[in-house]
Amino acid sequence: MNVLVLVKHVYDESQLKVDRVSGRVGFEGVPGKMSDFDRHAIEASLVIRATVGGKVTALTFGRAEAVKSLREALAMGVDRAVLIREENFEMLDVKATADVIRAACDKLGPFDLFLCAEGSVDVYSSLLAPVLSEKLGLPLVSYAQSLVVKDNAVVAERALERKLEMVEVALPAVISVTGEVNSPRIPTLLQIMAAMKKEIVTFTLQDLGLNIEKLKSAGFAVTGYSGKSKERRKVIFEGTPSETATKLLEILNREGLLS
Amino acid sequence: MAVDVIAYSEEGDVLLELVGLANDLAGHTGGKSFAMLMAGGVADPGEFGSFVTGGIYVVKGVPATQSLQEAAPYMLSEVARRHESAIVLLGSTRNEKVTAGRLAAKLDATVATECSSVAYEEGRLNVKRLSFSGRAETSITLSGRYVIVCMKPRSHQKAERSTERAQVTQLEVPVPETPVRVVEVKDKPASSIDLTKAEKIVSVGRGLKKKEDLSIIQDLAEALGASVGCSRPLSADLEWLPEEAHIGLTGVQVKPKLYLAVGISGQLQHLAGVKDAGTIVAINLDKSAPIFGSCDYGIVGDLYQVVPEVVRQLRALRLERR
Repeated sequence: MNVLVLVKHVYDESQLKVDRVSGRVGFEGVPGKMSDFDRHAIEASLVIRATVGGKVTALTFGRAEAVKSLREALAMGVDRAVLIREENFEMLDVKATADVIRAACDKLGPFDLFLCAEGSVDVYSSLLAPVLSEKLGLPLVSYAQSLVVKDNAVVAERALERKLEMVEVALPAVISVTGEVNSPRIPTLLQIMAAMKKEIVTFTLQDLGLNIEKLKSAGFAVTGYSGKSKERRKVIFEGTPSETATKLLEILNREGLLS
Repeated sequence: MAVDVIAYSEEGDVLLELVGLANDLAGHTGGKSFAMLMAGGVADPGEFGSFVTGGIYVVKGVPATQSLQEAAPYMLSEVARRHESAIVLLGSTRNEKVTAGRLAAKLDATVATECSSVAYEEGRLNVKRLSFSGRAETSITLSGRYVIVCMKPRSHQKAERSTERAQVTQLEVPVPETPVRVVEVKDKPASSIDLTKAEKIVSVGRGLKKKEDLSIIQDLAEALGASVGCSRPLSADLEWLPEEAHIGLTGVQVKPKLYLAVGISGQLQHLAGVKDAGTIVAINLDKSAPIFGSCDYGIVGDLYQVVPEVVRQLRALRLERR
């Protein structure tokens, strides 16, 4: 079983420099991290490899700094890590991103299974899996909260808001997983150190026969960010439970929140 | 070129909001508003015709072995192609986000999900949506022959009925056999309340030590007349509360007048779900917990002591008022 797992390197949103009043959002110097939900996709790929054998490739499209997330994927146990390096990758929309992944698959594949998280923690559009499945012409199992690979097929439980759909599909297929699917392993220090020495295969868009200008969609542009938000009062009470409870309830009562 | 606006959602309430938005947008695009309904679905087509200006499409139902997210993109692409140019409005449910992605690939459309507002200006659709776990709002401009937008619930007024009824067009869209077979559908256990409509919410997190202690939280909710929610670990990892109670980026986003976070540290992914809450109150043992930087009122203290005391005083207050 040849598994491709998609990983996104994102800004650590807790470190964004946000001015609540002017709304200015600063990205400069903000450290990157693996999009948290991707660990569930990686874990799922490793579980599948342990059950049916095969090889797991982790793929990232992003800046040079994204090797950090790939090292983490290697530490967790993927066999191969690939970076499609492009400093301006954020200019592209989801269709172009899917085109890049498809081009990379032509070079790295064929794959039996494409795994990703239900969304990324930065944008959370949840569009990559459906768009990629269309671009690859492959079936999609979205929002899998459990999955089992058996006899070249996948049985999964798709979690929707109010119901669960048990679905079956023959491979190859694209699968997106939710956070309920597993608890990702935490690599040991030894594994992290070993991952530092492993190779990260790097391609540019040019290596894939692509060009960022041609990939850009004329109809899609991010025009700005605003971090304006309600300033909270942050009145903090310390003291005995009885005192603090009284103070809180007095205020809530005055604000008409207890009626 | 007139741009028509087509609304579709499998949720009746959301569909009415989308049609309300479609009517507004059509006023600016010079086009008309339409809705697509599944036969036997959320609304009566003839009746629904009084909400739109352009027309209603009724598409024949989906086979039981096929998920809606497999069929809807085919149907919507067929409907959209009947228009020279169109904006397609969907809800931001899981099925509808998948539908949006597939439809965008099929129509080579531009697309955005989880949008809170849209405005049409000079041939472009300007949309706003939250990103980075709610820390920033992103403005995106979408244009092209087809534009697809998934709206968050309650981002627009519901459509008003008019005296006229738009024409109903019955469509049979051939949906190819899909390799993904739905072999069984289970309803999730019905949640007693929809948190997105709750006026008061008491929410609990990892500060709670064991499942039995939920009774402390339930007492507080009862005394306040509030619903009970939780942070992700309690529903996803510990399974002490149903998934519907999970408030946050990947759970529900709520807008109560009063939000009381008990034993919740206040990770950004949780806070993304309460950004629009009126007053946020936090009770937490750890004075340095991030929740104290994002609340209106906070009590530093052990929830096992503070919450029962709040409940006791609330009950006393209630008796006094009698």
